Amino acid sequence: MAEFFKMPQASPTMESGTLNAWRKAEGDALVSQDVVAEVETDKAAMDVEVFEAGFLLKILAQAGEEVPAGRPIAIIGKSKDEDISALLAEFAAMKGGAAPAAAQAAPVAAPAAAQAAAPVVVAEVAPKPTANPGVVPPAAPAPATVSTPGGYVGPTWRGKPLHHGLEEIGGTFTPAKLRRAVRSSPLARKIAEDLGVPLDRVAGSGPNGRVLRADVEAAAQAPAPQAAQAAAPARANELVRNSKMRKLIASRLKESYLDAPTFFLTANFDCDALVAFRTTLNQQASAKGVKVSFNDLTLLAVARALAEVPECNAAWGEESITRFGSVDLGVAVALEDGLITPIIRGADKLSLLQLAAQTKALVERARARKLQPEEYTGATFSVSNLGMMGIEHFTAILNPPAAGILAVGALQQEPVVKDGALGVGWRMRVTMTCDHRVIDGALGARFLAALRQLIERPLLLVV
Amino acid sequence: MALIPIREALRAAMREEMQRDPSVFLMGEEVAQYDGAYKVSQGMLAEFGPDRIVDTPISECGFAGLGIGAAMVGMRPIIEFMTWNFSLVAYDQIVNSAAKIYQMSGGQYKVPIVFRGPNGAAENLASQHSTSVESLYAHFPGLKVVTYATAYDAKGLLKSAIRDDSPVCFLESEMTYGMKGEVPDEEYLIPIGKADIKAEGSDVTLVTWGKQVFTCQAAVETLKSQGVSAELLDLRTIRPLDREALFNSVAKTGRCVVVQEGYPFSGVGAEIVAQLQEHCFDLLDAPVLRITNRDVPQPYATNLEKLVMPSAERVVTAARRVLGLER
Amino acid sequence: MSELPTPSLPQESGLPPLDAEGLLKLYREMVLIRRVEELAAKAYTMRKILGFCHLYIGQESVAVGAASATPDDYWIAAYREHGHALAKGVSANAVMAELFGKATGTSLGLGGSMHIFDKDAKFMGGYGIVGGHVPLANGVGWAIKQRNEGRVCLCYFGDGAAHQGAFFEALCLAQLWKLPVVFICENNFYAMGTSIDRQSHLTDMSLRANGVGMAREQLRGFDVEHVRERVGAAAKFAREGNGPVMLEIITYRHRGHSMSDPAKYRPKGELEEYKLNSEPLALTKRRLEQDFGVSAERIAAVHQEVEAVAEEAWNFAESSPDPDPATLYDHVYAE
Repeated sequence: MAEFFKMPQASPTMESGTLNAWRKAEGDALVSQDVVAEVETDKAAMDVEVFEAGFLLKILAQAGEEVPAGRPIAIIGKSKDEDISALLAEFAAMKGGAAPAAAQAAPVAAPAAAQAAAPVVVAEVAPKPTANPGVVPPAAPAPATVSTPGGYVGPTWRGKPLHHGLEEIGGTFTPAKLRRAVRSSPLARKIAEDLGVPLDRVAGSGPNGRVLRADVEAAAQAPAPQAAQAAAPARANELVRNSKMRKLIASRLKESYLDAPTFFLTANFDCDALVAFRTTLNQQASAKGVKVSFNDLTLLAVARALAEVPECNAAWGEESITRFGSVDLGVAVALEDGLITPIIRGADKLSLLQLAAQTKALVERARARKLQPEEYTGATFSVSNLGMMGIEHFTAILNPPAAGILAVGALQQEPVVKDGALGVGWRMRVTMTCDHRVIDGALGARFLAALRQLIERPLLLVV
Repeated sequence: MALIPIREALRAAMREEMQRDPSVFLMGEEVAQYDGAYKVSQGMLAEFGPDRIVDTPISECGFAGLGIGAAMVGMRPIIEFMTWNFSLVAYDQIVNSAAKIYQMSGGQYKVPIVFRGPNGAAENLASQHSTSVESLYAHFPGLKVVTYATAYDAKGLLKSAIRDDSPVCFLESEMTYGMKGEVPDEEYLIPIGKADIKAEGSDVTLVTWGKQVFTCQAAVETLKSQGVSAELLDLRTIRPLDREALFNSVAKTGRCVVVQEGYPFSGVGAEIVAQLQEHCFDLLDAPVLRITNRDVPQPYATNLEKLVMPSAERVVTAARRVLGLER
Repeated sequence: MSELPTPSLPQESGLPPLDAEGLLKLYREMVLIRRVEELAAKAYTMRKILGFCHLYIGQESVAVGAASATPDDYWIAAYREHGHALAKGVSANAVMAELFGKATGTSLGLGGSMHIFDKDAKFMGGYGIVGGHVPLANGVGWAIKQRNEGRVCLCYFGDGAAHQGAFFEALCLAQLWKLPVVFICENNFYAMGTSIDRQSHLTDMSLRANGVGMAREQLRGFDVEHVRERVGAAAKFAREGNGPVMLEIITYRHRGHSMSDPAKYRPKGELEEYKLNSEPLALTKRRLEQDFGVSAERIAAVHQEVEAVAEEAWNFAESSPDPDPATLYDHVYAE
């Protein structure tokens, strides 16, 4: 049975060989170990032998031809007159395209297969020679790096990424990851993580200030650090242990946000009159040592508007909605590490000056952390004002159990159209968050309309 | 229970095994008529005769190879090197034949052989007679490397080594042959591959083996007087390493000093440090330190030699450093 | 000058002379080695056999002749040992499977071409460190002597190994203790690419034995009957407690040192000369035909039968499974 005689793999590194000469001719009889051809490889010229007795039936590669290892160079058979047409057809198919040859060679001669596959990769990096012989093709970039669809950019070998095994041992190597602001032992880091102790708040007692296990354990026992110490310039991520207040805020707001179906109503108030009113008031009242802020005016307007529309001064209950008999107005106050909402009780019944004085006192007590629980629990409606911080418009999260909160934006001058003409006016946007279980859209709008009356006609606040 | 020197414990191990198994024989330079260069085999020629207690020419490669061939066909040779320094002319026999035959024969040929003799430095023997060879043999899968500190361990481990079906390099110490220890009258074996806690402690683990156990014992006492509780782990077997005992001790203390005779570079201590950082990274509270011979060929002069060897003072300093008590 | 205290070997081996059938059997074994080696060469060019591969073609008469004189004795050899293994009775299937790196190989695919072992055949391996295995033979001899087995150990190595310290130490100890070991230096004139006259002042390696007072002999190894007779005589000498023997058997490898060696260092015509006048298979075939009257048909039948065995070995090796990765650590330490 005739078979292909293939270019031998003379050494592990050999990819192909050049046929220097045939020592046998077609039709010659062969015995095992007969030298049939001479081949030049990457290392040396070598004799190519057969290891079967038979006949050289057909030469498939001519002298001077370079042939990949594992590819047929001849057909040999046991008898002189074997039918080799099928093998010839197979060989013709191989010559037609590289793919079948590669596929056939693959199980036997890996380098040959790799070589056949190589042009696919080379095409990505090396421009094909241009058809115009007059144009010198641009120099092919060195095929040192390629980009693959997988996103790999780096050196390759035979079309495959060359890497240093880092992928296998856990992600891309980034030296920055290894830099630590705080020296600490592995054990100290583990314990710090378990105990929730931020390492950069721990003084290290080890060599070079290394934080050790004992340091972390000592820090975990110590009282929480003072707020004043907390501020640090931004750099790497840091862990800031949650204070009780922060935890309370988180849980209350999350509860509120997830519990109440809310919607938002925004109104834009004309404040020219309010600004003029305050200027006049402060000029005339300064002798009394009183100073009224826009916030005071807004708070009083909200309180009075709630008195007019008491359906909005309410809270949801499964069996019934509570409409509060008193307007107890919560005022959001920012603290260094959180916020608190002290309450002005019966705010609608207060005079402007009373309200201003009470507000001032409450804010001071809040900042000094001197509020008693009854001073900040049970607001029937709340106001959060970020206007003084330049926020034009925002929405606030309900402060339970109250069904409404008003987010007050900045009072600012802007172009306005008055009586068909463009002018400059003082404007302020407020957004009411409504618990839809209690306050419907029209009801909320009624409240905002009442509020508009008081803001835009501030003299009403003092009647 | 008898109080006997280590050389007698070793002799007792060999005698018991030779009485038990006729395929065991002892071969080496001066082991028979001379009674052993260090008198370990004293009297054994009279008991077992010249076919089983065999004097050799100075031909380590020749008789190490002979032992391997005999082991392949079912004998259990004990090949004594007068010192392990001389084993280096038989190195090819031990690492290319003894260590590999079982594997490269597909498990057909076992090589139950013990190579034994004194290892490491004695005193004032200069560079060629002071080598610690454990890392040279522990490098090779296929070899077991066993050593001891006490007479009790010496006897129990040597008996196990002689019964082992794999080649064992059994490392002794010229300095401790005369050191006495309690050995039970009844027969016992100590399994190969099991470390032993020679002193329990909680602050730092001292890992060592062979005669450096005594250096570390002195260090443990000093540390105790300074309020430091050191655990002393005697590996006893270097390969296969008792990783369980090693990791458990370091897990307990979080700190470790490896005390190793011989050169630091690619020493057994380096392997232990590597294993600890691979497997115990998050259990360590400080880098693992090594106390080894200084990285020079052994000098002859007494003052220089003392400088080269591990000492209790060096071990104490290292322990205090990993504890952050010293910089 | 004092006389060398070198004993001499007996003139006769005491083995019964070979008849036609006996010689035909040896011829068959030589042909089997030749065919297995040729297929190994073919497989190597197809990358079915990898690494180093040293072929025994041209030296078959040495192993086959010696095997017929020492059927139940221990053998230990170097890295050109496929032929020794086959001569000693290791199955061609297992040898070829080992070359192919398969789980069914003599060493479960762990050893490869240079490390063929078969305990049942008392074939104690193939070793890759030149001269490194020679001291091991003494251990086998030691055990034989202690146990009064009445066997010998044959230790094969090449002319290149005769310059190694391990070899000299082994000769010293073997003679000192009168061990039943026959050291056989197969001098094929080349230690890899270095010819014998460029390696050694003395080109008869058996003369090394004089230094230790060991019985020695140099012989030509192309005639399988002659090898059988003289190895038989040496084995008899050693078996009878007279001590070891050092033989140098002159032979010639037809191929390079290994598969990657084209052997260009040989003078022109040298190989052709050996193939013409010292080709072991051709010599035996001629003797069978001319002196024993064996027909061409019988000889052709031997070739045909061997061809089937060799082909079966190839197919067995090719169809055998690779070693199971789960067994990687199975043979590091003996339990």
